[in-house]
Amino acid sequence: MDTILSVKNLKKTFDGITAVDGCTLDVEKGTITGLIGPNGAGKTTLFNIITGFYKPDSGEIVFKNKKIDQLPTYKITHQGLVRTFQITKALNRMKVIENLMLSPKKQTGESLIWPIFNPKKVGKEEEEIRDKAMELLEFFDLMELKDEYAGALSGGQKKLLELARALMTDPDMILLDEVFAGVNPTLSNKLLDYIKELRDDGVTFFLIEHDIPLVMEACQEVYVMSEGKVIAKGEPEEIKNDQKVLDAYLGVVHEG
Amino acid sequence: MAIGISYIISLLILFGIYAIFALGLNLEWGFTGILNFGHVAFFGIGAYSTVILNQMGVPIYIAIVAGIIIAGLFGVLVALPAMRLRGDYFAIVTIGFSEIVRYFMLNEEWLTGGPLGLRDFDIPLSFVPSQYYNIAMLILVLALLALTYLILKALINSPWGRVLKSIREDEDVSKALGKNVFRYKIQSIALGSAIAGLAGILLAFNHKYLNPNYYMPLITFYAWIIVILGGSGNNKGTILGALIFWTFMSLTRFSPGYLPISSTDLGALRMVIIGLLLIVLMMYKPEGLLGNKEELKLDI
Amino acid sequence: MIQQLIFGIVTGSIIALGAIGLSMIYDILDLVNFAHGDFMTLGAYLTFLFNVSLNLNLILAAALGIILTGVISLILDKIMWKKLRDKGAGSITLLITAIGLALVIRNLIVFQWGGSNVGFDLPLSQNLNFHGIMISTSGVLTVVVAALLMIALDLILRKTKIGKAMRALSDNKNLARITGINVDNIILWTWGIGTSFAAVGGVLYGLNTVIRPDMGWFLLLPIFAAVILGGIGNPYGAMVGGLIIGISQEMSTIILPSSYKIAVSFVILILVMLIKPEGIFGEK
Ligand SMILES: Nc1ncnc2c1ncn2[C@@H]1O[C@H](COP(=O)(O)OP(=O)(O)OP(=O)(O)O)[C@@H](O)[C@H]1O
Ligand SMILES: [Mg+2]
Repeated sequence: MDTILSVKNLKKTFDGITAVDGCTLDVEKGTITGLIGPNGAGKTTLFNIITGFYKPDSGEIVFKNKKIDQLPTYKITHQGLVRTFQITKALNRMKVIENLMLSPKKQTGESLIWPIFNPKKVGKEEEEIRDKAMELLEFFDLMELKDEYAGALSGGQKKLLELARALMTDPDMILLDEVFAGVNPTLSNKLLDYIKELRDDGVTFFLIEHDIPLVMEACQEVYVMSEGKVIAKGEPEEIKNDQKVLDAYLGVVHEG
Repeated sequence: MAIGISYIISLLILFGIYAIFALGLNLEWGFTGILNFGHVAFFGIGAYSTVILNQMGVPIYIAIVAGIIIAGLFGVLVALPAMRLRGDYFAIVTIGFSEIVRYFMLNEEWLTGGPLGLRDFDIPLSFVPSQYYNIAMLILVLALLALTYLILKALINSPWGRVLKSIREDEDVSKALGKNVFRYKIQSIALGSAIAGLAGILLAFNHKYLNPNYYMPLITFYAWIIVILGGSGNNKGTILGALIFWTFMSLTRFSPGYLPISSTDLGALRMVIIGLLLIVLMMYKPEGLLGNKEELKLDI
Repeated sequence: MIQQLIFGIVTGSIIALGAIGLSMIYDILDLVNFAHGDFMTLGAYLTFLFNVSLNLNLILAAALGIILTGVISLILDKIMWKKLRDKGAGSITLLITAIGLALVIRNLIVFQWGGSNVGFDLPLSQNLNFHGIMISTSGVLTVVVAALLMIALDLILRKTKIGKAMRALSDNKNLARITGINVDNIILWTWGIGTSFAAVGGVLYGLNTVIRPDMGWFLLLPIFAAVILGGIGNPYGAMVGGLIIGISQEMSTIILPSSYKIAVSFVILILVMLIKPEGIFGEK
């Protein structure tokens, strides 16, 4: 199997707190890989480093055979790696549809010049982008809200919006930070089916999740983090019975 | 009666110039969330550049274009280092920059004429007979206001404007979605400053004279008041705000004859009212007169 | 050289007095108080009112003027700032409101006292001459008063309950709220101390030069520089920052036209922001 993302010995310290402490892991292309661990384990921080929001103190990140650990976030996204935020970040004073239409890469109309000098081309592209956005809105049951301000959505709806927005970038790999939390079970199942479908199309998912049954159902492989380190890795069944994992969740300090 | 009309014309010229000036600020603050408190610097840089170039022999229309571009470039020059700073620091740095520009105008007499300022430069529309000059000026100003408004409208409603708005809302999202936030902010400032430059050039033509005192930080606050009055992020509101603001300014300027009050006192009182207005707006109607309450209650 | 250094220390003391309050208010209220300089002006004019218009002796007049300025800031907190806080207004809303307040204060002063310079009623200031180096008595007074106030502030911060609470709040906002520190109370003390220090600075400025409606505005920019230099929320940093800014401004006159003084403090400010935005004493 092909590795799409490979993290080696990643370290990040915030005034005294080592949030990520020599983390090493690989994510295989075309899989749904899980990342679990107790609160404060460093999962979100790991995502923040992978996507360039923080620079690592040391370590290496390779995505699609390219070193990305020194790249700024927007360039990482251009490589095809996109993330969602644990604490949703809706663009409040923009309409739901605008939130989605923002995403696609390399839009002609994003330059200062073309909207004025080639409005035709920009307009045509906008139509295509809008159609794509509508499809996603339809799927996520957000169609009726398309002209609402994003700030007016409920917490669950914002999660969906966030995911839809990430999908609009046409990524090769998506990092999902607790995207299921707060989404109702029916929708959450539908979402999972959709993710699996995308996976079958070749998109890779790396997801942080506290809902263990969901992780068991969705993932081929699961990493467990605790205190900034990967303490276990394996198929869901193996992980479930791993003593170290149980200890970590119960708060037992582990040596080694 | 004739006095009345020419008075109204000169009021409308000022309205138009300040509307353009404030549209530049609204692009930066209302649409991009950039806290520029040194907007007046670019107003001044545009005006001085055009006049100085013209006095050096550059034909006036070319000097105007050059002045606009130079103002925009100075916007970039300030933003390149300062954009890395937090919003409040950026506000302090830009206000400081505008003061440094003013000190420069005051002190570098060889270039700027110092405290006496500059006069004797070409004025566009000089072919117009002098009794119609003000009307011609008004038409020019309003035409440029309309042009600025239309260009901004096209840009704001384009994907480019969408990226700016996303930066205003939460630049982490813009970054996560692959937008080069820094570049867009620089573009926003460059364009906003160029627009301020245009307004400054028009003001210089209107006064036929330049003086460092026109570029006090207070002028930046005028633009802020205009933008906030109309509702941040609303260009129509900004134009309405400019109209209300200048109507108020000239009504109070017009009244000395009728009120038992000296003109210094009146000027002070006028600024007290403007300050109070700003406070009251921020306390009770931060979304401005044309602002959408729903839209704004979510933030600032 | 030494002459400029002495001027610098005097100017720096005044800037420091302004910087302390601005820094504390910035930190504890999350307010970039663009009206702070105008409180300095207000302090000077109220003192002028008691001293010249009401014929009180200067020390008494200064005490009244300074206290009244502090009281006004408390009233303003009640009628404006508290309401904004309760509405959850963000720091930008507060900043713009402060600009409005600055305009109101400054122009009320112009309205009441006119736009031209005024001065206190005081015996002609003597210049002490040490081998060609001039020090005015008001200059000496400025440095002494500023030093005493800073010592007093240090004692308040370290020894009193309210001072300790202030430092705790400044160090960790969330923790302080949880541990039941009375935040409203601290805010009032912050205003009281911050603005009355500013008023003292304004009065001292008036003693050394003249009183003008825009004096506070022109002091504000160097004060910002001092605050950022010393690190926001660090009163000791503000003191040192004030002195550094004052001294650099005056020293710069050796090589630059003196009208660029303020530009000098600004260049320092920008450099600090870019190189060490947490201030010279701040840790990352
Ligand atoms: N910007 C930051 N500054 C300081 N400390 C931080 C920062 N970001 C994270 N931390 C600290 O790093 C540690 C790891 O946090 P992180 O958010 O990565 O945990 P997590 O595994 O995502 O937890 P949760 O399951 O609760 O989301 C925590 O102790 C957190 O307080
Ligand atoms: Mg997390």
